[in-house]
Amino acid sequence: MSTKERRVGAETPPFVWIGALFALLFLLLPLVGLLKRVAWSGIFGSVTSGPASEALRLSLITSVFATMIALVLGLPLAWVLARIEFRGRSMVRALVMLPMVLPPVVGGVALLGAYGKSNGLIGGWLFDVFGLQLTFSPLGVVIAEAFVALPFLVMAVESGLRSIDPRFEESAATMGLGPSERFWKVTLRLLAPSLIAGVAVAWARALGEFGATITFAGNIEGRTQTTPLAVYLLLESDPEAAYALSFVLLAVCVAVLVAMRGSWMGRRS
Amino acid sequence: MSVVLQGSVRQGRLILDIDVVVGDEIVAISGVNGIGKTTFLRVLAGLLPLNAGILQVNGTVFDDVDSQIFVPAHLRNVGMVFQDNVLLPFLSALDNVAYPMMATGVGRQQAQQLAIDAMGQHGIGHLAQMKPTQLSGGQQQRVALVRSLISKPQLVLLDEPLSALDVDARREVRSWLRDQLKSLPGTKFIVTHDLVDIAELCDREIAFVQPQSLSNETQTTIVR
Repeated sequence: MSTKERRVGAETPPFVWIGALFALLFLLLPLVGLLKRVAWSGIFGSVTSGPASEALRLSLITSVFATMIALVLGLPLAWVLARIEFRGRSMVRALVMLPMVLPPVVGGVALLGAYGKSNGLIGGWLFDVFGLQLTFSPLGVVIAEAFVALPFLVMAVESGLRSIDPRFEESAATMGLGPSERFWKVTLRLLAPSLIAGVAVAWARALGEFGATITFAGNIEGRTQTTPLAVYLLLESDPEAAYALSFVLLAVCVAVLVAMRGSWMGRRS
Repeated sequence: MSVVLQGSVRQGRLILDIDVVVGDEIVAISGVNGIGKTTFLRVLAGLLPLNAGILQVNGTVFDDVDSQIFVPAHLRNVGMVFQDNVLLPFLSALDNVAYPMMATGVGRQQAQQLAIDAMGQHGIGHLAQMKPTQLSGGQQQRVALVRSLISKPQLVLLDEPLSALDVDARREVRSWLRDQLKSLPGTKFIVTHDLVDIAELCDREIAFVQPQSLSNETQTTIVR
């Protein structure tokens, strides 16, 4: 941006400045509008009572569990994608990334196709053998959120693993550390920034999940109605609470962005 | 006490064809860049398995392709200095030196005490609490050297261990290194381009040579 860096032949034409300015306005205006509508004096009351507080509580619990699932499943998957060469690796990677671009509603429909109790692939079996019903249950919310969040974690961790100089682990091996010791004491330690960034972005994604959740788990107050679903409904009946909840989600996302500044979206992308 | 390595290893375009028997001595490895000196050290360290042949150290088979024996690096008790002195970036210099001992079962406190002593002896005690990023290239190299020798390895592998030092420091560290290596049993390999290193540190020299390349795809290095 500084004029010192301007080189002859690479000057920024005026319309680029104007376009960039409008793009920025386009992104910021709705946020300003949201902040303007928040009733600051009553915000605490709005989010700590009634369906809003129920939704926040449910969102917090389900998103944390979904993030844990994404971490436990995503770390090994990221490892395989980053470090093991096999035929069709790029195709597997594309499949893993699919939920990132898939319309969330389609994700929800797909989850129904797999885990639906009456006509899902393994839904009936899960119910008969374990008595587990995922659809229209808090567990279903967790599954829907994890499905959407997992690719974000895999992406962050895979790029983190690729950026680790293998000689650190080799050097640890010559120092007498066995494979699992190297994993816990060296690899994981070097991976920590990417892991934290991946967890943060996966959690933010799980927290904001709407389409797959409402399709797969429904919208039952106190059971499957997460914060985004509550926001959508409250907009009609209690706009003040809807704006208050929206602000909470916005604040959480800003906090996540600040926390992972530079580690995932900045330098490595 | 000896190293017997007869076999070949391929890495990328490079094929190393090796046939060496080395006793309890300090051996210089020389040859032009890209000829496979580091690859040779990696085979000995257990970071790279042979494609054919056998490696035996002090009577123990470390690698035998025909019998499918391969002892991984962490079980070989080697002391290695990598070309760019890879110190673990999240540990202090002291903990880096103490780490190999802790890995072999020495308690944390005892390992740290031994590490402090070793660093002090070498005149780098004042660096103990520094992180690798706070150290100069030469200081990192000294720490890496102390680390590689501290657990009395049966095989020492040093990849250009003095390259980051200036002339004065080089002389000083070289004589310290010579005393250390002479007092340690086993075989030691030092990759170096420096004629003074070869003359003052080493008992013999193995020169890596490349015969006229027969094909465009591969390059064979012969080690005898």
